[in-house]
Amino acid sequence: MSQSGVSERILFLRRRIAAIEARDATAARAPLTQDRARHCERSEAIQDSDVALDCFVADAPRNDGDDFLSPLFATGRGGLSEIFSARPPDAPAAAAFALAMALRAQAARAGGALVFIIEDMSAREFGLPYGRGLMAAGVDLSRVALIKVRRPREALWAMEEALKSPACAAVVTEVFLDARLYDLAASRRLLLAARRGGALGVLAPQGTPAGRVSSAAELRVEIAANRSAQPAPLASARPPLSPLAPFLWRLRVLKARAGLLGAPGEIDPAQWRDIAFDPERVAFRHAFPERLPAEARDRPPVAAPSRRRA
Amino acid sequence: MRFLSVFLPRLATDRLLRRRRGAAPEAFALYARVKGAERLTAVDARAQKRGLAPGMAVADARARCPALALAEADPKADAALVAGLADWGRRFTPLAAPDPPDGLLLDVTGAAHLFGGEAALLDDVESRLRALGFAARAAIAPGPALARALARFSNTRLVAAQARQEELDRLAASFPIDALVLEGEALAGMRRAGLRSIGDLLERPRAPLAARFGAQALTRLDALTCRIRDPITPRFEAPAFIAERRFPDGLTRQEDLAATLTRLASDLCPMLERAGVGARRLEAVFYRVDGAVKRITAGTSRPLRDPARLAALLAERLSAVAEEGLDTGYGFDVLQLSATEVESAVPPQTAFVAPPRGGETDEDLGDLLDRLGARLGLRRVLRLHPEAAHLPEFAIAAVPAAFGAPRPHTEKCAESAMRPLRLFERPEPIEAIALFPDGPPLKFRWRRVLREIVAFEGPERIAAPWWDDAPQQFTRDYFHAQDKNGQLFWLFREGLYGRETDNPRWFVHGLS
Repeated sequence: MSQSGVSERILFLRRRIAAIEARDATAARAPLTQDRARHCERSEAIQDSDVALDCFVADAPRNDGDDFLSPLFATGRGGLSEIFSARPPDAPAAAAFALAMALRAQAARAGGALVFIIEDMSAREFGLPYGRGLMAAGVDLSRVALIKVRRPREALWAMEEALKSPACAAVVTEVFLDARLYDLAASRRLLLAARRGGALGVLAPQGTPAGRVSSAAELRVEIAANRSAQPAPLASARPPLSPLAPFLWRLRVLKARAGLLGAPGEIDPAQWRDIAFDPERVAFRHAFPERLPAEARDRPPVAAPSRRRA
Repeated sequence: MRFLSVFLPRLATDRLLRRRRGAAPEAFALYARVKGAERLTAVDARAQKRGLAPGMAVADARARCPALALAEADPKADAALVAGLADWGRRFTPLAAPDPPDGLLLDVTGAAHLFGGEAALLDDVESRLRALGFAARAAIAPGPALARALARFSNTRLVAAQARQEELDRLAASFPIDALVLEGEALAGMRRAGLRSIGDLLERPRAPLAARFGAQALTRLDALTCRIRDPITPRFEAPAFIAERRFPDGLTRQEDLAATLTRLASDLCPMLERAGVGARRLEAVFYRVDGAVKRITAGTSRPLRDPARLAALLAERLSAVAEEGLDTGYGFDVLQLSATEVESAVPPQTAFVAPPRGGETDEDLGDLLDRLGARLGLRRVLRLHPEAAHLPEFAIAAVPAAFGAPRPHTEKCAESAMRPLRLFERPEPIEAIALFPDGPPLKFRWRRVLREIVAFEGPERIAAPWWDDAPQQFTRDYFHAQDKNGQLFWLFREGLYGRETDNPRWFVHGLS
């Protein structure tokens, strides 16, 4: 992590602590609201089960600044964002991020349907969204529709139709896009449709580098799979998978409309950052590096020196 | 009951001559190879005038008429043409049936007044067919068999509905026995016995006739004289709910067609409402001036009887068809809209229903999915239904949205283990290297890239359903694995080492 990334994390922690202190002060005076009471219960449960990676995060109230994307989810606003994958193999991670954004939009709207539009080629390459996995992520399948399309043109048409409909909270489209097909005019149409329907459109284009596309989308991020897990010294002693594994990414903001990311200068958008999604609380947050397992005293001296330093 | 029979005496030759109208050859005939000899099967009017007839050897016909043009007979094309003409006949009545090999039967009961009476209807049918290039003769009678015989063997075109039985008998008496349309020996037997006409049969006592020529002969005889009711089998079941509009000049522009569909939908909806049903499947039929028939269908995900919604659905479908190329030709002059499948729909109670929160309803989602389905195809718009099954690929059924929405599930999925966010339609085989034959994989090669696993979770064992009589299936051990680049895979090993198989195979089943 480079210098600016570290300073950003410290900034975030400071803000978090300030938020907690402020909350404690108000909580002493005012009775707990229902919402906050639920948070407290849940955070206790998480602490008890020792699943929490970071108790500060588990304790934090909703939308206290970590959710830097929250302006995009303002109720009934509607918007269009593009999720590019850093490299072709990161496409499933980008799709998972798109799903997280859709869930976030659904929660912000307190209802509405999720529509997934998948091109056949994309389905062959990376499979179709799996209902059980979606259920585990907190999706209500009775509010989900899956649209399979043959061509990118059909995908854009279906996306526009779905965005216009008042039924949809979010529309996620995975498609192999051509810059000739998806240009300023096409994306402007999508944006206007999203504004009209108050839905969030999430486009996850595949097979196109982000630099090739110019569009009217409000937010464009690049997603890479999180590779925080360190290779173990012994092949037999591989660490277990993080329980949040599908919802950990490295993210970089390539483009954001003015005002979308808060006051300028606070954070560096173009910086790669680690980000996590908490399906329980339906919120994004910083992903702090996971704790490394404690090292045994009598381990054989074959471990890499970098690991000993850590 | 009123039936209209159309006889197309020169169907086979007309089929080919229609295309080169104006440049018709001197004489034209079709031939087929029968038992090694080439014989004529059909001749056109000019060839007939020169003394040619079906059954004549081709060599003889050539000798008589050197300018004879010949083509090979194609019974399949003829049958398809008759079926197509039966479709065309549906512009007059929904109950139209092909009458192979060379005719149509229409049930025009209660339909003739729409065309200005029965005589006018006969003229209309004949003149339209003539305009399409067919020689045709039509007749209307109280029974289909009688109408058929009239069109073929008589100059009478119309038998009044209130004709008495004696009159019908007198009319039928003049027909030859071919009018009975009997198969096999019976007809030849009658000829041998000297029975030439229907009148000969009617004079004879019934019992000996039945004993000699079979009960079927008598049934046909009764049908011919309208003594028994003899329904026809229409090519398509007549829809219960149908609306149509006719235009003196054909419509060619897509906007006109869409506007007409809107009006038809508003005609159809009161009928549906009166019957307390909603449409689940709609069919719009366009009759082109030159006889071609186009149909578009649209399905709905729930019973619908809102004209605006039905019209929007059809307009969507129409523009999808138009993109692929809707050949309007000289235009469509009859448009029909029918609800081919309906489902009972209780009118919603409006007074006491609270407006839904947030303004969006299941209705809106249903509308959206119907619209998408109309354009993309119903099979491409899916809902995910959770199923009680252990095998991951069967635990979720992707069902077309037209079959309805899944029930809202209340049970949290917490008890189930981690599942990937994406699943392949069929697992992709990989080469995996594991330390132990029943342990997690160390490395594997998927899509020609070697991946090194740095973290994993598992195994989760899922056994094949032993209660099924399925071909032998192996137990699967599933692992979640993360490779060095952070990608997540859902892998499984098929078969328990040493117990079920000695070299278990590995697959990637999902990604996250």
